[in-house]
Amino acid sequence: MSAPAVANDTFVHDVPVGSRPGMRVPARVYADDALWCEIARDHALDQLCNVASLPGVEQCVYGMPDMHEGYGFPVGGVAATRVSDGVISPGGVGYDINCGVRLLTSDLSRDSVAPRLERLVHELSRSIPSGVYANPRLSLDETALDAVLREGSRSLLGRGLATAEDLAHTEAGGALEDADPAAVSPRAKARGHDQLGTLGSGNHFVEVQVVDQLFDRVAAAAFGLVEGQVTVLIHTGSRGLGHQVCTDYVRLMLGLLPGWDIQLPDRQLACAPLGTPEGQRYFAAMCAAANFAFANRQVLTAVVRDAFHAVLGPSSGLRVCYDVAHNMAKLERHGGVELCVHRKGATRAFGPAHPETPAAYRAVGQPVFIPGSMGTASWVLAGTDEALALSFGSACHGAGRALSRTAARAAASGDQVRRALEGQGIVVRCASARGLAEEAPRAYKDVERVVTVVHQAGLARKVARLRPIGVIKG
Amino acid sequence: MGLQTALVQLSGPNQAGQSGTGVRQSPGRMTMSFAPRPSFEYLPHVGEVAIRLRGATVADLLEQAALALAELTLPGRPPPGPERSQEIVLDAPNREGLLIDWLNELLFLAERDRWLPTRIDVHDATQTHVAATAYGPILDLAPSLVKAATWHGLRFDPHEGGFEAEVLLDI
Repeated sequence: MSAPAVANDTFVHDVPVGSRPGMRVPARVYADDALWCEIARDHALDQLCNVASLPGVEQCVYGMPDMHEGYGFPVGGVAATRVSDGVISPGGVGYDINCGVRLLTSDLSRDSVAPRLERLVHELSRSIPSGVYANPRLSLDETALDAVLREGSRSLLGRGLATAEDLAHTEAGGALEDADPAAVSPRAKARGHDQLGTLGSGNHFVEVQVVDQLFDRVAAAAFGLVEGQVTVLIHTGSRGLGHQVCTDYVRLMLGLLPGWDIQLPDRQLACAPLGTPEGQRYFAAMCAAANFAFANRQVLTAVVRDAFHAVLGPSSGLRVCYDVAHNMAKLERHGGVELCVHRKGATRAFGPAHPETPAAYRAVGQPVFIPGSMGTASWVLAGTDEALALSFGSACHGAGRALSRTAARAAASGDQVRRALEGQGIVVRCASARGLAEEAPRAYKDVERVVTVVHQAGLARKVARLRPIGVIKG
Repeated sequence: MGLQTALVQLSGPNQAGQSGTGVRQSPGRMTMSFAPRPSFEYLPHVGEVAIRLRGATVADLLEQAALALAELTLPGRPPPGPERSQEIVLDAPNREGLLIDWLNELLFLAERDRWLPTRIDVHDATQTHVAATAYGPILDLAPSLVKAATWHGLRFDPHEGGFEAEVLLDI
């Protein structure tokens, strides 16, 4: 079996079946020469080839240009398995189920915000439980938590935390219908009950940004973006609840693999046939955790709106542009085949013709958000119809790490990173100096290069570039 | 100083680790052998954090795993204030599974109870079982830096009369 032919193979790097033991389908990575060299430096390619050995894997596995070594799946990996005879792998989703990004647009210009930027970032930092904080203001009892797990952002309607318009601009309306709270363990619920509306730590953030360049004015207009406009990007996921769901099901499936006669090159690829009760139960739990993540970003949206209102008055006009997951498994039909598409550190990038592209964006394709790394730009792209054939309708999810956390800390201290960002006019709040050092811009690949490959390979197309002016790091 | 004792020791809570010693018979001669000194170290990984653990016994390894987790979560001295303790009893199918379950149990307890285990008293440990008491400061925040201990690249092997393990943590 060979990888699908493409019209433009400039950025295509193929690993054929047989290159590594056990591969059932080829692996393809989209990268230019420089990114390919970076990808080859760690074990990401080995991991992608391991994924190509999963039972029922379809056609080809894909690596995005931001791909780097993870655990089990590489970060920036896409794999589709057939519902009829394939598996679902919690490792193909990751511990942070439905980690994702939401972009808010506003009626504000940079000039109108600049005099009160410091106060705005302070207010956001004060209001958003971040780092290691839980959120006692929103501690949920079992009934309320189950409602969030079942209905996602929809459970927040009528509580002053969400509007129908917000939901219309969220992937899947912010609620996955296959969610079952009963599939989520009491331990997962115990971890998550007071974490709704929290940012978490690691690479999670809220950024205040400015649209500094448009590349596709038609799509930008559809997304509500204009040059000089202030936007807010929210990056977080399902917190401890999602982490525990993954922990629970990886352990469960590992014990059952011999009974299914499944041999794997990496235990973190633990999986279950989609047709088994265990596979179905994980999918239901994953959907519930994903709903928690949608609701989490929705509550943070309400917090951001309150902070803007407190500092800048009632006319900020913060609207949800879109909310997209980058750690998820979705049931999708491709080429007439029902598939479970695992995107681990990869974003859906559906084009204008896809029925799941939101109605407001049918003319241009769904928004795709590529966060930068504090000092560097973030990008808004639009999905393309041709991406369906290129990558099961997927694009990258970020710049991708280039340095280990240890190396990043050795390169610059948290204080040095803070001073450098402030020198660029970026106001920074971070609970941990170590966290700031580990997430320094130089720890990541060149986001402009990554986005250019995505654009030129046809996975998604450039719409706008956003420059950070305020950063709240988890 | 034996080769085993040349392991890099990180500053912080693992300074109190004791060294294990033993005598091993080899054909034709008797040699002194030093089991690994209990220790942990962090290994480079581009996205996550890997830790290498060494010890004379399974109990040593599990204790070092807890200390590595504590140091990663809250570097330096634990904050002053009241402590709590928690009995932990786990059974797993094998040694490697025991290490993963142990780390994930500590992560779960720390996050649920806003508490950081910084001192471990292992009462009983076999290849598949551990009974221990964990002690540590109560925090006013939930330490959630580490998401989970993963199975990727996991090993827990006999090593120079003791044990050595490597485990990758999702950050």
